[in-house]
Amino acid sequence: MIEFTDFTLTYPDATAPTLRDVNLTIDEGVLCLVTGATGTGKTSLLAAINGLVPHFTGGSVSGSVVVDGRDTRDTHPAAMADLVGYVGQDPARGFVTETVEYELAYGMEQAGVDPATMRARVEETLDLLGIAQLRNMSVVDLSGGEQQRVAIGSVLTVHPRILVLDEPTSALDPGAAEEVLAAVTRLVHDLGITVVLAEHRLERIVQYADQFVVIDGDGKVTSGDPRTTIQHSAMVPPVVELGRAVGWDTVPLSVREGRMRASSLRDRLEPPISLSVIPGPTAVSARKVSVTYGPVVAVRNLSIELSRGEICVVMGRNGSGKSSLFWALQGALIPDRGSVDRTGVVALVPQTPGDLLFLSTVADECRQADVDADLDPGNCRAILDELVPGIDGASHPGDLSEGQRLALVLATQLVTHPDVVLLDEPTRGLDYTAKKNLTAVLRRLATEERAVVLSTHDVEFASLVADRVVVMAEGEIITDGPAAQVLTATPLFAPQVAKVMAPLPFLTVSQVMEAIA
Amino acid sequence: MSRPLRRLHPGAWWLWALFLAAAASRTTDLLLLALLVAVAWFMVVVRGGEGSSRVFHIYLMVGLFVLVLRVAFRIVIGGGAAGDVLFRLPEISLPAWAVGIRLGGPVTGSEIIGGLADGARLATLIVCVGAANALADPRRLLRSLPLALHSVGTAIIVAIGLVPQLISSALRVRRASALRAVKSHRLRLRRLVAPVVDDALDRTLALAVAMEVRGFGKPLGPNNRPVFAVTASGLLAVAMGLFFVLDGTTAVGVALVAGGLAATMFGLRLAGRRRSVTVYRPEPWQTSEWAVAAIGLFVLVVVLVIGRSDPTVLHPIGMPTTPLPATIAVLAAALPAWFAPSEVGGPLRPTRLQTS
Repeated sequence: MIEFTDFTLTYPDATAPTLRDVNLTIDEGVLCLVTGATGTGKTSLLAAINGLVPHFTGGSVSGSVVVDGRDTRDTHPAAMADLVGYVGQDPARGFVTETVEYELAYGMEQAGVDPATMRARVEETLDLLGIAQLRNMSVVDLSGGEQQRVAIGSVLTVHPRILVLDEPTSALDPGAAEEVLAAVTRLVHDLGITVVLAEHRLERIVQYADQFVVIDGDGKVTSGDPRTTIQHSAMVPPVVELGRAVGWDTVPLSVREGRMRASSLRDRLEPPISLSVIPGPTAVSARKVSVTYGPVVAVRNLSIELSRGEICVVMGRNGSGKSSLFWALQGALIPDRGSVDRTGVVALVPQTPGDLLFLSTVADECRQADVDADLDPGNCRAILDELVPGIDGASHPGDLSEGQRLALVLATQLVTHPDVVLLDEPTRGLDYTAKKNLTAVLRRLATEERAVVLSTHDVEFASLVADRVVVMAEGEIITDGPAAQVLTATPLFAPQVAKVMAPLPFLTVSQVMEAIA
Repeated sequence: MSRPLRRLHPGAWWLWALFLAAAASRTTDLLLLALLVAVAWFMVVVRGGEGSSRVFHIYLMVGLFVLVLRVAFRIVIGGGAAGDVLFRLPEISLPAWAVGIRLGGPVTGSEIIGGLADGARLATLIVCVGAANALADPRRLLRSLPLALHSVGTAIIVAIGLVPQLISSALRVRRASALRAVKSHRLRLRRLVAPVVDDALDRTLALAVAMEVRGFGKPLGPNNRPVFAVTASGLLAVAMGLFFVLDGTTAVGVALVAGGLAATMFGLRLAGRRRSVTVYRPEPWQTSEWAVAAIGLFVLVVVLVIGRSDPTVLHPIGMPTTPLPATIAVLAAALPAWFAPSEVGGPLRPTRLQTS
């Protein structure tokens, strides 16, 4: 169905090829999972399938990509629309019309489908993806998971045989991600659509994949059966990591397989001794804070105390008031009711860290941060090098990877020596390595007697980093307690290791290994 | 009377409202203008969709503002019209080169009425356009554009959508600027503008990709110059015709508009054949649409005919002398409220039965 032959891609001004000698066959009806570290060319590989690479992006290409007999060299991406449905990383940015219904019809209008057929297919697709109740809604009012499903629906209506999805769940909360993945697997199984999907967070999807494609740092591509290919992958979900560490013969890909293999392990191990962190003095305390936007109540009568030396993870659905709480804690947003007491400087890295960057090179940003903090030049750069070493000072902040940009913004915030560091969803688009680095950074900030607070949808990341977990819903705190307790209490927020080891309250692979040793 | 359960074609509402606006432009009779506003308002109240009253109120406010401004200007910068002096403002003497302009001085009753009439005419025009906006979302109108103008319509829709995104992006960056204090004044503007521009560029690129992969802008057939010539000259004729109509040279104007419209339609139809694009849920143009547009045209024609037979009737000096035929015609413009198709059943818009 999709055939890459000796495909090599070099972007203009790049010193090395992004993809090198790719030979890859993806058969009809397969769910193909593409993974690799940030910046290794996952998006490039996906975009090569419908010819966006190189027709839209530029770059020099050798070799060929043939999709169902069409060579992308001779076919314009627009002329591939009837064969390949492509949904980019941020579907909200790709909406053309106002309402869901017209958005679903847009591709068919371009394809010249007759009105009666269009009407029928829109209804069909609304039902297929479970979005019928959204039909008249404006696309800007949709939640993240709804946006993703509408975007998938909008390319499905032209009946493509291939669906290409670039990180469809990276910005979603666990519940919304499940909905999207359920829809995708249904498409594969019920309609036999070939799906090519890029994803950082393998734990959600790897058990459904038929083919597993790993892009290495040098642009080479390895492909094969998930169970065998994942053995050689550097990026693996926790359940695979556990299997490798314990030394099972075959690697488990899902929680179910993990549980089956771990039954003897569970009998043999003692519950881990939870080291309760003794929280330091309070750095910020909010009392009965409410934040409202017109008729919408974002934060409702909420009280929280944040202690120095503690990493607190705030979780909850999109729109549960996490961001508003952070802004209120920082002080840039004055709450409508209640008060916030701060004993020191509070820094906040917002959800879109790029909003804080405005100069044209990394070096300029660092210099400016030093000037504004009345410090000697070099301070910010030193912090940045500690966080993520080796960023070229001459590069444009917009060209950095997600993890690098986050580090740069964090560095500009840390020069002011804040006592409290708030990070709003810092894990978006970070791969396992970047998350490990971030964990180390946050841990160090906490040992420097700072209060660290972050929000994330990523339960695996939370299990690695959190001392305390707060769950919010509807602007209120519904759960607040030690990580080990909260993260094992409900399946929705439980990391894979906890699910495999339940009822023993293990959270991470390293905890299990310590208990074995 | 049972009405079809569907939406009226947005073009019909726009024609109806624009004909009323054209009629308003031909008179300064305060009573007639007030009647036109009342009819437009009534139609929005009973036939406007969700959120229409909010849109309409903005136009009402602008109209009121224009009216007040016009009268205020007439009072302050008086033209020195004849008549009884109502009161005197202190006069400011201007230098010799500003001859003919007077600031302050005596204010006559006819001057105020003149300003009122002028302002009311402009306000009524604005209110009529507002009614068109409230009765049929202009974006819906764009969707009904001929296929040949499909790309133009898409561009306008995208541009309309970009504005709220830019605003939200600017607000976000403004809020974020509180997180990173910048001392240098030189950089302060850049600090607020650069991230917004970056974001807008990213957004635009993402949208371009999304449109491309969904088949927008597939290569077209060979270009056809004669088609362009026919369409362009048709549009030119319409523009000139409208000018003549508004100027009072009715016969030539109407002929030009009619001929121009025919040429434009023909050209667009030819051009549309080249595109392989279809329209989802095309809005039909049926008898009701013709009727609604015709009623609007009827009002305009009546006003034009009256204006032709006796120009002073529609431009009274002092008290309004509203002619009965014009009054009846304007009242008739409210008829679509009863016969035009509606998405919801019942005599008028129900308050609770919402379509969602």
